[in-house]
Amino acid sequence: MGNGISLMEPGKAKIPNPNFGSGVVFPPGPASGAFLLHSRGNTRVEEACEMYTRAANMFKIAKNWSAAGNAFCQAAKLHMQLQSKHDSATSFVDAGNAYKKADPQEAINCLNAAIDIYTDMGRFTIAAKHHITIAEIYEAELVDIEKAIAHYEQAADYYKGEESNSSANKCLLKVAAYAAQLEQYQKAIEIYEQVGTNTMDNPLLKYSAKEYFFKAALCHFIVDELNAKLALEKYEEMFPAFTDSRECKLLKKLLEAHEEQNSEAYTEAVKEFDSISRLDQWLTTMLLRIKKTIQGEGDGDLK
Amino acid sequence: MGSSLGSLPTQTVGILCEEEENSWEKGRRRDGDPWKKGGIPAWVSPAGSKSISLGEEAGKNELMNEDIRIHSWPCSYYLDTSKQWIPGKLSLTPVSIKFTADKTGELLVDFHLSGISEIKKESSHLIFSSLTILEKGTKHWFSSLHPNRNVVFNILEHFWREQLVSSQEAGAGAALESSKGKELTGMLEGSQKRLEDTAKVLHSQGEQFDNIMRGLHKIEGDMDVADRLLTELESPSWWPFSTKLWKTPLESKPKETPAAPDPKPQEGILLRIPVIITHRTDSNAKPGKLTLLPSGLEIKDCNSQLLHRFESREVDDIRVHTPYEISIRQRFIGKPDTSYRLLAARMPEAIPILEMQFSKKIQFLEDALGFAGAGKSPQADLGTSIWQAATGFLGAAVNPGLPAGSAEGTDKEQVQLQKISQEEAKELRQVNMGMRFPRISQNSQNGQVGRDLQDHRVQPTPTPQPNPGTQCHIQALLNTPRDGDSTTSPGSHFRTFFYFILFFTL
Repeated sequence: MGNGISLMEPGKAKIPNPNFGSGVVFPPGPASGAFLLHSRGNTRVEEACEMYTRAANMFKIAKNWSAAGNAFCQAAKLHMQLQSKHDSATSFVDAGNAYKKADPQEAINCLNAAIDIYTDMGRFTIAAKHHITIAEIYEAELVDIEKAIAHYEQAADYYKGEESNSSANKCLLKVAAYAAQLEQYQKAIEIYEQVGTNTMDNPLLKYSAKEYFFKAALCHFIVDELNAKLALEKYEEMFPAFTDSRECKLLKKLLEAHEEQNSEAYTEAVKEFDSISRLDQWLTTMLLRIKKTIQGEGDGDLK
Repeated sequence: MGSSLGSLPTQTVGILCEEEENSWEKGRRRDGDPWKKGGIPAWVSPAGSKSISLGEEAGKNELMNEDIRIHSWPCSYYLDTSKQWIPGKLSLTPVSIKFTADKTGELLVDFHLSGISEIKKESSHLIFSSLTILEKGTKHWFSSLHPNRNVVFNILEHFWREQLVSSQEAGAGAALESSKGKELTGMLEGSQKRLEDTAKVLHSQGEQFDNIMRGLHKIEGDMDVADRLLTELESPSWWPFSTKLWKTPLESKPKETPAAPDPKPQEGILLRIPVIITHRTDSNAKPGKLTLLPSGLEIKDCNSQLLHRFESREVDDIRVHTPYEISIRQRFIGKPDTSYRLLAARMPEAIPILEMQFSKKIQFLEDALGFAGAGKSPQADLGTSIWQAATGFLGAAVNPGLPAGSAEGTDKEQVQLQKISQEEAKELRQVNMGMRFPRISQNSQNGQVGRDLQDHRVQPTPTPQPNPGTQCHIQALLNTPRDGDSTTSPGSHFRTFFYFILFFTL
């Protein structure tokens, strides 16, 4: 650790050097006179970069994450001065990874800087990947689901632009799951339907389409029972295999139970489904929300 | 724990027994031998009933409101307002979760089980294991749980789910029958789910391979340019003529096939179209002709005078500005680039050929992007002619002697193209029709991989599988869910189940 600091100092000491500044003004142009004149300044900056990176790695060994992040950040800025965008972006990502363990907000800033560079270079796939990292930080560390959703959406957009539909769908499904949890059902429905229709024609993915339609129908159900019925019919028409699925049968039973305001039948249907394949948390939440509407009305009748 | 859904009371006892064992272990570790502390271990509550205390002091408290509380655990809670962890007790009643602070005794958290949208095991600051409960948009963090996190998680999750599946009057013992058939369906359902997941992962991996291939192509293209620039740098600067003359003797050392001496002008002409030529230096456009040859491009003026000839490897980039306008450029270090801008009505015919010949170097600019993506109007109109041109080109590549009668095309490009066999050409034609990126399969070095990768879009086979046997089984299994879906017939279940067993024994 002490070693790391002493390594970092020479890098810092170089910054006020006048040579340093002059090297920055002229971009390194091949075969030009300026190149020879200012190459010395540039090599100094390069050395500083290297030093910062070494320092950062030492900090990493010492598990001083925020110092490591800071050193990587400095290296990234110097790389930027040297016009090497690629190295700069890589250093920003390293900084983000280091900061992630100590200061999530700072990590997000670094990753955003990296994303800016990557989008500028036209490397959208990698930018999208870092958007997902940011979204995950928001999800797990900062618990800001709205922002996580925004980043997932951005990532999905980029992936779509690059024709990486599978990755785009993955992001969109995350968005949909969170949107439903935040009771933005319309958004969730749109996404599930879109993903469902996209996947049902794919020979490899058509087996999961029923799951998406099921989820879309459940979201419809929470909003309005009649809508759910209509949607179910629509899905059956669009994707005949859906009719045979257990999900569809469950939905029909639930709709029936809801119509009769029979919470017993509702519970029974859910129980039967659960005994074969265990319900995950998302489904549990949604089914509970629907069940509450039955019970709520039931209580109202009693009073 | 508690996966089969028995009635509520029995389930609870089951969990608590396990819990007791857990705290027994913990108690032993903490207090040394608990039996020494006065005959009866402190953590067995006198009533021997459901409330289990985890320390002596906790035991006393719990007795007071045993009737409501199912369980309680000492833990700490993260208070967001003051940004600190507060020690206290997390307690669970059949309908809600509460947290009481140890010091002040105030109730910090109290919400209904049905309001929970997610329970998760997470770590705060990546080190401390903690439990998070997402309730209507707010996340509650609990940490340093005793006896351990998993027990608390399982119990909380169980009661939360019980909200959904338990009927109000707790139909005791009603739902205990589970037939063999149901069990089997459950197993199949599980394996089907896994296979669905596998298919998803396979698909996205296929896509990633695609991206890798594209990246590799770009890298190769850049390497080509770098290679050429390097050879140019190697030639002395006093050499007044074009580098070609200097390079020919040097050319013997590079790894690939030596460059041909001067290809005769009579080699197979792929396409000759009238064009309007704009040279970089002068701005007025002249009419002329563009000839596409397997070995390069020739630009002639209206009197059939050769203006410039690009060898295939001299072309550094081709920009497609619009479907009707392209520019071809050769870069030089230390002197201006040679570049021609060509405009032609029949350019849409030439572009596919150029695209095949210079797949790595061609670049579609904004206006032409629609043209690059299949299905846009110009290509749709010219669809047949383009494919004719492309297939004609392939034919030429397979039998270079045929079109012009002279088998002179021995330069690099030609040799590379000859590697395409008859069947491959046929396959290429087939695959080309349904594909977005014909360029990938066109490169003969990576063609095989490219085709393999593309195949997963065209055919129902999953992406490259090393073992054909396994692939068969996966396919068989992938096809079975249709049987599994129509749940009722037991015969189909057994068949699928048989496949399932086969899959695992293999």
